[in-house]
Amino acid sequence: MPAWSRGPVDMVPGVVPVALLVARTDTHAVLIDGLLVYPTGFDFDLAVRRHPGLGRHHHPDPDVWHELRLEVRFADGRRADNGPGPWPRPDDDRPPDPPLLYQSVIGPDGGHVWLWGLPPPGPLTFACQWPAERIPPSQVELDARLVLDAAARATTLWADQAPSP
Amino acid sequence: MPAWEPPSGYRIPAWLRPPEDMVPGVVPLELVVARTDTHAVLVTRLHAYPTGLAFTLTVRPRPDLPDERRHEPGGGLRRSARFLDLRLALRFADGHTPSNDPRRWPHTFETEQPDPPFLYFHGGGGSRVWQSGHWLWGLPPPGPLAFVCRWPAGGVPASGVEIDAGLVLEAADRAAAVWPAGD
Repeated sequence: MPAWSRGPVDMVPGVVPVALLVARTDTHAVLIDGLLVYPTGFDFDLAVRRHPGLGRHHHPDPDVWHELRLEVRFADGRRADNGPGPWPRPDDDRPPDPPLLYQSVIGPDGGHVWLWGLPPPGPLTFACQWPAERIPPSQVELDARLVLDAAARATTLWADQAPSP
Repeated sequence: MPAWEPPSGYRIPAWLRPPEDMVPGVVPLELVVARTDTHAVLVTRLHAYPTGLAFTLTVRPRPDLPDERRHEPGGGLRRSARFLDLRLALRFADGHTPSNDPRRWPHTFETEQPDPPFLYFHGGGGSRVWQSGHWLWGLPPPGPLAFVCRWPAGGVPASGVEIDAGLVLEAADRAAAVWPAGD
């Protein structure tokens, strides 16, 4: 697996000590939590919560699950999203330009996301919308310093291991 | 094919999962519970709520070793099966030791609320990096809180790490309702 496609297996990530409420309607909420940071990027969960009064019913059509749109915006204007688009070939010699967002799990309760690349200092914006579940465009900002500080706390598990090819 | 749906009206009991209607308080730690020449066992994503603590138990293989050095059998099912004897227990300052060993769970845990603390998990997955969501029903008392694991199939002896339970209790205090009463 190329380095840009996931977090390094041989590191303990640094944790961002907050969970973010990105959107909330009368029926649904979207959270960003589990922010784990490495020197090359960060993992997080895109978590959909349903109001307890609704029971556990969710939309049965997987195509609808894919329509929960997430965009991450850096303070310098760069952005990445989970929309359908060309995905770099793993065997390309040159790593893609960051940021690159890859959602590895997609389901009725959200999914798991890897973002290749760290943000510059300044506001880091998470924006989402999900028309099928009547979630309008919504966003929340995080001080990117929290992410950068967490990246600095990531540590190597096996200091004596051979360098990755 | 339609997605599987639980029986109409079924709700996962409160003691088997984190509350859906709360934003968790994040415990600002990642824990290396065990590390050998071939594997590391981590506890990550520590999310605290007033009713308990959610976290992820993760096994990471040392990536620069061939599979044979890690004694890893081939095939996804065989690889997953070798995690069956990965045991984790929490050691509270008051002497309680909730464990993820199902043989220690009360037989009625699915239908009757067990006395806390109760450490629940329901499987895990991943071919190389294996992960399993865990839920501790009930918060630890103040004082030292130890995470202890052993994994015979992976060659990991009894190992552990200790934190201050105050970090968990403070995070639980930071958890907030998604839909506050009156909203």
